[in-house]
Amino acid sequence: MLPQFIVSVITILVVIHVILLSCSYLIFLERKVAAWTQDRIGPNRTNFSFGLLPFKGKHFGLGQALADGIKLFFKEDYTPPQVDRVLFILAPIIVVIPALLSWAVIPWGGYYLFDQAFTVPAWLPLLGGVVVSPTIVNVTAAPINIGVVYILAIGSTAVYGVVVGGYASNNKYSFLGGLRATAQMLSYEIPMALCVLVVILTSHGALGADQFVHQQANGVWNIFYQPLLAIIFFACVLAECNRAPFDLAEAEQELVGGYHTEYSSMKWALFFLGEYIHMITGAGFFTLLFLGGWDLPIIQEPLIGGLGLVLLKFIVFASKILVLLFVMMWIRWTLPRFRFDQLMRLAWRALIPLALLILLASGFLVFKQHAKWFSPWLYTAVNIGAIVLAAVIGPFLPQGPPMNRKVGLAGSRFSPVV
Amino acid sequence: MLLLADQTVVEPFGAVKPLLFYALAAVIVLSAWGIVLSQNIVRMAVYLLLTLAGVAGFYFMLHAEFLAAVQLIVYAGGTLILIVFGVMLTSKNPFMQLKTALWERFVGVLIGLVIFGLLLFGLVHTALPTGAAATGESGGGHYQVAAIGRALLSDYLVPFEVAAVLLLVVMIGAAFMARRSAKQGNG
Repeated sequence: MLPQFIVSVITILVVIHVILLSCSYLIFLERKVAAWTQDRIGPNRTNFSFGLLPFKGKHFGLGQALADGIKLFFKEDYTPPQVDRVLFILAPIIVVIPALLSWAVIPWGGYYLFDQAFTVPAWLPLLGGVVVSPTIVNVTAAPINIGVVYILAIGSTAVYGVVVGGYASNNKYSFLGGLRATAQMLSYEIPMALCVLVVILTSHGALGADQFVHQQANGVWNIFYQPLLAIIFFACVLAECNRAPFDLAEAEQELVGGYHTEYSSMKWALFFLGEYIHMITGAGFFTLLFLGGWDLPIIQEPLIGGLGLVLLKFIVFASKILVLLFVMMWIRWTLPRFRFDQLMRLAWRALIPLALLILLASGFLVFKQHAKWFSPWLYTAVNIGAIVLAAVIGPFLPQGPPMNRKVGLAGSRFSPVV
Repeated sequence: MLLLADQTVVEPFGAVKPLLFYALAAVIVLSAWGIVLSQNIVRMAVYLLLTLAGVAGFYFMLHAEFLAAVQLIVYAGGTLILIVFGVMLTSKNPFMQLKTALWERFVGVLIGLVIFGLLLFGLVHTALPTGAAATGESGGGHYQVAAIGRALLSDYLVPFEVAAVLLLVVMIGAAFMARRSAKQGNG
C-alpha cells in the first residue's frame, strides 16, 4: 500500500505539471500546424523577453505560448448581467475536473521496482518510521482493476460542462451549442464503448489499464489485429473532445462561439484547457488500447525496472500521444466540418452497426479461441471483412430522408434564373 | 500476472480515510439540500450530478470500483443527461422557476421521513460485516466484475433477459413515436 502511495503521489505531481505546462505549447503547435496547412509561417517572433527581460533573438517564437497564457490571465473576466451566475462559474470547473480525473488510471511508466527495503524518515507526518519491503508498484496514479471502464465512466460525465455552460450563458447561440454537444457526445459514446468492449473481449477479459499494455508488449499491438476498430475509436475520440470535423458545438459560422460565446479570460481558457486535456486523454486511451502503451515496437524491453526504465517508458508513451495529437490537429485543419445530420448519420448508421458487427464476429472467435484453426490474425480478417461488407451492401441499404434540401430561391445555385 | 504491491493490507493512513469520508459526505449532503431547495431545474440537475458523483466516490472508497463506474455511466452519464436534454428541448423559458405548493412540501417531507425511517430500520437490523471483508480488500475489482458477469448470465439470466427485452421494447416504441409520419412529408 505504502510504496504504491508514494509512487502515485509522485506520478500525479509529475504528470500534472508536465502535461499542463505542455498544454500551452500544444496551442502553439496547433497554430503552427494551422500555418503549415495554410502555407503560412505561423507565430515565429515572440521571444522570452516580453519587453522586460534581457533576451535577444526570436527563439523560434516559442515565447508565444507563455505570452498567450499571460494575456488570458490579465484579460477582464467579464460576466454578462443576464446569466445564471452559479452555473456560469461552475461550468468551466465541471469541464476541467472530469477531464483531469481520467488521467488517474493511465499507466504512464509500466512497473517500478523498489529493489531494497527502506524506512520512511521519522519526521514525516502520518508515515514516519514505516518500514517498506521491496515490492513492485504500478507507475500510475490509481491502479484500480477496472481502469478502462473507469475512463469510460469519467468520460460520460464530460458533457456536463459544455451543456451547463451553454445553458447558463442565457444566449441562444450558446444554448444551441450546448444542445448539439449533448446529442453528439451521447451518440458517440455508444460506438466508443462498443470498441472498448471488443478490445476487452479479445484481450482475454483484461480490464486494468496496465494489463492491456502488458499483453500488447508481449505480443502484437491491437491496431494490427483491429485496424477498422481503431479508426472507429479514433473518430469517436475526436467527437468526444469536440474537435473538428466534429466541432459543431462551437461552429463559428453558425453559432458565433457556441457554448463559450459569453466567456472571457481564464474561464474561457479553462474550456480550452478542458478540450486539450480531453485530446490528451483520448490519445492516451487510444495508445493504451491500440498502440501498446509504453511498448517500443521491435525491442523487447524489460517489464520491471528502475527509474531509468520508467522514464524511458514515460517518454515513449508521451511520444505516441504527441504523434496522435499531431494527427488530430492535422485532421482539424484539413477536413471541413460535418453538417449536423451527417454527424448523426455517421454515428448511428455507420459506426454503431460496424462496431456491432465486429463485436459479434470477435465474440464468436473468442468463443472458439481454443480451436485448432484459431489465430489472432482472424480478427484482422474480420475487420477487413466488415469494411468489404459495408462497401458492398452499403449502397443497397434503405436511405434516410434527404436532409440536404435544395433551396428553391430564384437565382440561387440550385435554381438559376433562366 | 504480476503480484502487485497492494495485496498486503497495511493501513498507514488511518487519518486520511475519515477525512475523505467526511469531505464526500459533505458534498453529498450539501448538494442534496441544493436539489431540494433550488427552484431552477437545471441547477437541480447539476446538484444531483454532484450527489451522484459523491456516492460514486464512496463506492470507490469501499473498493467497489465497478459499482462506482456503473453509477457514473448509468446515472450521471445516461439518465441525468437525458433529463437535462429533455428540459432544454421542451421548456419555453430556460430560466423557468419551479414553485411548489404547501401541500406538495408537506407530502415531500412525509415521504422523506418514511424513507429515512425504512433505511434506518434496515441499517439497524442488518448485521454489517467488519474487517477485510467489509472493505472488500481481499477481492480485487477484476474478479468482482467476472463474478457479476457470471451471475447475470447464470443465476439471474431470466431477470436479465426480461430487462433487456423491456429496454428493447422501450427503444422501438420511442423510435416509432418519434418517427416522422409520411403525411408530413420531408418538411
